[in-house]
Amino acid sequence: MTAVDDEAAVDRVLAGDPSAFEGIVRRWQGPLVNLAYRFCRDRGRAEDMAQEAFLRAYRGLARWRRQGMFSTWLFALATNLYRSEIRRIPPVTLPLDRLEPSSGETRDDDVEDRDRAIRRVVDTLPPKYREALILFYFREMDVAAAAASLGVPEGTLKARLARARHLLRRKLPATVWSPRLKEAQ
Amino acid sequence: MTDELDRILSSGADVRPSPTFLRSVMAAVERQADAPPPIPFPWRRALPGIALAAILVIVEAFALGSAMEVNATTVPLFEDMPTPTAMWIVIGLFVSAATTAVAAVRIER
Repeated sequence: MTAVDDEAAVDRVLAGDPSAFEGIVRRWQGPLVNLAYRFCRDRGRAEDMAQEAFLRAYRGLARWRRQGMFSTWLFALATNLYRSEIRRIPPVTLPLDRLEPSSGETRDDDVEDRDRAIRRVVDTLPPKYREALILFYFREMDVAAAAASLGVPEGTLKARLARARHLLRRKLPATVWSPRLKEAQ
Repeated sequence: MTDELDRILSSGADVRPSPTFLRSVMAAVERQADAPPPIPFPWRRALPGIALAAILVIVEAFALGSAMEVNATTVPLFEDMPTPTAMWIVIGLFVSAATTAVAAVRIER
């Protein structure tokens, strides 16, 4: 399915054929569930949030102005919903010192612990920085796409990313960057 | 470190939707499609009342303003009330009007 197919499906839905929406869900279910998961870190909740995003998209299809890509509109709508949801009921985040380290027998275990710790730190950032990071990496480091999804100018997003990275560096405990891991990089 | 962060955060999640997800979304969409359209806010019926309330608020605000200017302590509608109480009532009216308007707009959407 391509952008043209999306547009054709939207036309069919607006003409009164709700079943045409299935093509849109089929194409975008993966990205929308993934994006939701990055916000809430809970698979069940991610699906609930993604379902609500699809429903809102269905209800608001007539408001898509077709100046930009359908996906841009859909991601902006979903991002907006996810942000409100997460602010309404924040995900449970464990403090870093309560992370259970693996046995640490292998280099892979260490790397896994470190990656997990970094993601936990991201979860503890203030919402505007966390959202900037989530969208930036979700949109494959495309600043323009991430900014469009968040509804902020590119400059604002870049500033938030810089600040988020600075906060990450400050918050990450030294143990996360152990000499052994640094050697492994 | 930034490159490493890029790698870690890029590979943040790879969650696949459950096999029932598509069916569940489409069931919700069908329910939505079958549901009757939302009842629009009855602007025509409500408009005279809203206009009257707005006029009353404006008139009282002016009356209160001029009463304060001439250093009077009361205005016609709030004759036996001290000025701070009357002001609270006017603020209350403003807040009520604003919340009604916001609610009406949200219902409309």
